[in-house]
Amino acid sequence: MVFYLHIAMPNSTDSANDRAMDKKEIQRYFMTTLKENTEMSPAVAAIRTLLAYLSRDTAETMSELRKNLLHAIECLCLTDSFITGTSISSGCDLFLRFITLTALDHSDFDECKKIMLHRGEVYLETVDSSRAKIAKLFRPFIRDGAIVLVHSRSRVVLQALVQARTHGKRFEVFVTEGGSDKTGVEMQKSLTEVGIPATVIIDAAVGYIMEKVDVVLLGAEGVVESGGIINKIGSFSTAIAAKEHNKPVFVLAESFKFVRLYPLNQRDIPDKFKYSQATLLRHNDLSKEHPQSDYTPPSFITLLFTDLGILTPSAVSDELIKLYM
Amino acid sequence: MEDQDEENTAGLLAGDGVEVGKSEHAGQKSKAQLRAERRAVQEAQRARKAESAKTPGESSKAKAAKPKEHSAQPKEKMSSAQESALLKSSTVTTSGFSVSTLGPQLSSEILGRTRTSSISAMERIRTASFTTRAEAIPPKGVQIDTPPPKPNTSDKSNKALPEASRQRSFNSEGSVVAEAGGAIGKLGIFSHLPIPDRNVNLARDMSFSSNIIHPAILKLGAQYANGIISGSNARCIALISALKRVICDYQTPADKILSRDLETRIKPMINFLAQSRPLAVSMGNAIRHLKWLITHIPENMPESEAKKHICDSMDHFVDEKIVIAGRAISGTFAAEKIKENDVILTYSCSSLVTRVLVDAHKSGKKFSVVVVDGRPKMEGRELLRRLVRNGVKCSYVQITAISYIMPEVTKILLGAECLLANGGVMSKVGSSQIALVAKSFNVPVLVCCETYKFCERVQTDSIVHNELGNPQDLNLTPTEEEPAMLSRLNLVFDVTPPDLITMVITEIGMMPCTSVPVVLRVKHALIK
Amino acid sequence: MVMTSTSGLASSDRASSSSPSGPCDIPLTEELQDNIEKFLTRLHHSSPKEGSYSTAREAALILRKIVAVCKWQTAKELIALIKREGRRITKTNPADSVFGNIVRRILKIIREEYVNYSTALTADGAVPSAEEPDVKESLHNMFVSGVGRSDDYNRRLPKLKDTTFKGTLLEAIGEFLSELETSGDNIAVQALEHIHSNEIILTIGKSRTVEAFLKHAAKKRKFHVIVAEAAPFFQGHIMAKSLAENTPPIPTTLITDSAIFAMMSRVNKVIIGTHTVMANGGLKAVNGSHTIALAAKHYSVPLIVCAAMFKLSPQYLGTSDQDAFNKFVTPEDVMNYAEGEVLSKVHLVNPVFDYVPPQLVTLFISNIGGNAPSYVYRLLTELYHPDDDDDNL
Repeated sequence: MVFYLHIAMPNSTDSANDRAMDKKEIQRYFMTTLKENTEMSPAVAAIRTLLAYLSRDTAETMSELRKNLLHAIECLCLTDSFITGTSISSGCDLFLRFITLTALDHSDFDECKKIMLHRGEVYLETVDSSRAKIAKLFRPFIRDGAIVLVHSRSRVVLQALVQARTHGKRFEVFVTEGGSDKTGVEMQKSLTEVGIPATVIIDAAVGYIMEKVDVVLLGAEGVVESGGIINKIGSFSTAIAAKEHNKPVFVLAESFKFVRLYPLNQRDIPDKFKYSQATLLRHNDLSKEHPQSDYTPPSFITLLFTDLGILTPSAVSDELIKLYM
Repeated sequence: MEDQDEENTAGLLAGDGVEVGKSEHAGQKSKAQLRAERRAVQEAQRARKAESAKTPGESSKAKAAKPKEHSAQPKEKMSSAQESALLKSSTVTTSGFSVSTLGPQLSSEILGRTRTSSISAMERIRTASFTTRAEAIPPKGVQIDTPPPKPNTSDKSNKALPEASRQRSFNSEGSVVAEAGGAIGKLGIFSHLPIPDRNVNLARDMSFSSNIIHPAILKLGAQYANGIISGSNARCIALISALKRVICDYQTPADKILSRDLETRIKPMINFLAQSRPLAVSMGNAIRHLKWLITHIPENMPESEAKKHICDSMDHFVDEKIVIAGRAISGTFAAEKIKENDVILTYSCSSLVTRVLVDAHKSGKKFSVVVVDGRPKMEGRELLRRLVRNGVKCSYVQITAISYIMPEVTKILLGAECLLANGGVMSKVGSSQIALVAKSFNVPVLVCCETYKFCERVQTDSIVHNELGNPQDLNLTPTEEEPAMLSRLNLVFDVTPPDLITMVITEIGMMPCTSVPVVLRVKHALIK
Repeated sequence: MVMTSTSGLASSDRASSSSPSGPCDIPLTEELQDNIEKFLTRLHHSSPKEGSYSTAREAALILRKIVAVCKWQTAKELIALIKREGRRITKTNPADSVFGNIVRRILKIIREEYVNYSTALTADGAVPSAEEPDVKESLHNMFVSGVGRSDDYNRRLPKLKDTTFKGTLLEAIGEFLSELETSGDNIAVQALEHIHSNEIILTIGKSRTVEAFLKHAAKKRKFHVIVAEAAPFFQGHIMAKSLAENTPPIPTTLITDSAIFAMMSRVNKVIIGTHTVMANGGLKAVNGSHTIALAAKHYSVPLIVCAAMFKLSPQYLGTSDQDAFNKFVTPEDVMNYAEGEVLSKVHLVNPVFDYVPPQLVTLFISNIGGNAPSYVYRLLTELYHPDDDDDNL
């Protein structure tokens, strides 16, 4: 992260003449941030971009700032990338809420903005440690000799497993291939590198493998208000198979992925969460397109490991209500 | 105090008419009366327990030993004369193992006995039943200071009976009160099921016009009622042996035809047995087969030949439906499903499951067995002994611990009392629980059952049709006090819903439990 | 595997030396030492037939004594002292979570009183602020706080008017003790809200709380209770007798454990007690409870658990592995030694507890009211301080 701040600084001084970022700049900033920090979640990149935007924003009143920010968020969401909108959206929502909360406490605009920037930095710092924290929380839940099923690639899950391994836990991992982009293969490589025996299985073999699996681990693109998750397509079918076999499904997700959304079913998920921006722009008829994410309802989830602690699905709504009330 | 002889006669004359309706009567009795009666019954039972506790070694030995010979209990209840008469011919076994060697032996013995059977035999039966009755049933309204029983009871059997056990309670009509039947503290939903009380029940049944009940059947009734012969297969085999003896002793009256008369002679005996303990489905099917045999005897067939034909056919029934079927289930199908390093959980004691496990072990497979047991009968211990004797690696837990042991288990193997036409499995109470917990741990549940135990009946719960055991069996100590509002419920069977059963193994193959009606249909078609 | 929300018990030993609160060298008095030893022996030999209430009460009394007798200067020292003793006792009896709960509860009381007392001090005589700081990490706090928490409980608190900090503390612990004592009654008085006329209620074994609950309902309602005997300890027999001998008597039927599923189709409600409520809303309850819960689920019968607040534990059951979670007692109850010949060749198991997953529980009734298992996480944050959940204990 320190490394990032270095590149951020020259970037901001470069165009330091108090000129607000325009659409292209926002998107470029976001994409560079992501590219240069492969381990960074899009939600964090979004928050970071918005902070950068905020620091250079020229608005003079709170309502103006809000309007500008909304515009910036719109630009972010339209970024022509292959990532789905869930994580960007959750990051942006949280940022907006954070602005509102700070504004409530402080009436003077300039001072308020200063506090915002300060708190923003503090927040980003705490976010950095969240994966390590989740990994620590999760460690006792993995038994020696356990067989773990992981769906596709997830940075949190990877870190949690690696940390468990470095703490002497011995276990075996099955990784699903993860659809056309084969992210599961990357995951398998990263796992074998640290000495965790890992095998890639095709997504269709989830039902077959389930009876010998002890625990299912899922990452999340977004944790929604119901306590369910939106995640890489195939997560739902994995969770269904796990439930049929009465296997625990653990979700590992940082708290910045909490998103104020309550999907009823798959159809109810907004399109921007299911398809990448590129797909959305290219096609009119989405029914022929493969969605990239699905919704797993809370009844399929045993526990969520977050940097806020171990949560039952119902505790997610508690957090979101507290934040937005 | 009436003379005991008179009492006997009265009881005999009263027949079962009075007593069959006892539970209905009981419902109408005043509470106070009920309570008094119940107390009397309890006292009697307590005394009986205390008495049996005195000879624990004897009874446990009898239970533990391969039950080729019958335990001491029924012996005590019969006069020595009758006892020897009965035991001479008794080779009934309660174990499924020794059956195969039994058939020919039995029939030869029975054929031998036919020659000696005569009026004297009838006389003996009559005396025997009187004697038995005198011991088992005290006069009505008996008080503690009853004078010693009548002269025709032998001293030996007298001593064997505890003083208190003779103080069984009777109401004024001379009928026995079923304990707590319809009493206030009792759960109403079971009032349609009779609650047995071993001695009372047995005694009551003796009051049939006894000359029509063959002593072999009397004895069998006692063994059923006391749980000496239990288990669906064992009961069925014992029934067939007893009936064969009845048939051998039977002589067609001059003016009657065997194919018509024999059936009417057997009927009251079956009723008698049904009252000592409700008939098992296996027994029902055997009886149905017997009746079919009898009615299909040609009229012109000589009597001895007809009897031989019937006996041989019944032997064949045992052989085909139980022995060979068991062999097929164990050797062909179960052998295929028991894999190396399996951990097989079984509940209670099923003769078929025992056979399957022992055979699999003998065939050299490596697996271990978890024997789960439940109160009050603790029949699992018998299974455990048999398995340990055969060198099978075993664990033993109580039924409450299944949720702890289940994660280690790879397969469940259960026996069955009968399979119902809707796919339900009626089995020893607790089996459904095993299946339930197994399902939640994704462990497959296999039921072993011969097709002769398939049944046309449908049933969705364990309450409509079930059997109640003696409630006193639940007591932990013989002298347990019982508040009026406390009742004990001793269910014998339960019904496992079809969705908890993975597979049924029968002698004709492996099938889902919902295929019971298919098997029944095909069987019917074959008979026709 | 059992673990507190951040780390397992095993690691707590290792962590203890480097515990952030630092090592504690305040000695115990001899009498206290003696008390604790006695308590430990009793805990060690306690039969599974005994309830957890007596353990809870005794633990609270010992801790109160530590607060009263030992020479501590600041709240921080006291917290370290109690943690030290708490760790010592929990280590000898890891399966018994009640003691740990009481320790955490007392620690929370100390922290709360510290905050209240110091606010009262600053306001000098003003009413202590009723608002208690929400120390639990939350999304909200992450945004609004900006800086981390800084209270170290290290201030020496002078006398305020007539009371000392120790005085108020002892008073608060006294309140907690009386809460403990009345918890059973407070659960029982809710009985009429849950039991209607002519119900058939199933329970297993003997729970002091459930017994009081049913007896309270019997004052006004007529219902039937079915008691499963709970082999191999057979506490159900005592329970059944006690209910039937109650005035007014409750019609009671005693059944074997094997008849639970058969009877469940006619049962309206299942009411059981539990040893511990786990952090996810699951139960650590007497052997056989899991079967009851599964059967209840199968027939959609509501499963109500009566449990006082002190039974709530911040522990989770990690996987279905029960070895650390469970407690095993002599298998003599399962098969007596008379079976010698067979006994030597057989593996006997006699576990005490069952784990019941939260999705099988319909409702908890505690001394503060009814709650769904999905809300247990929240009750926990109210009961215990997050710093005491983890390996600091």
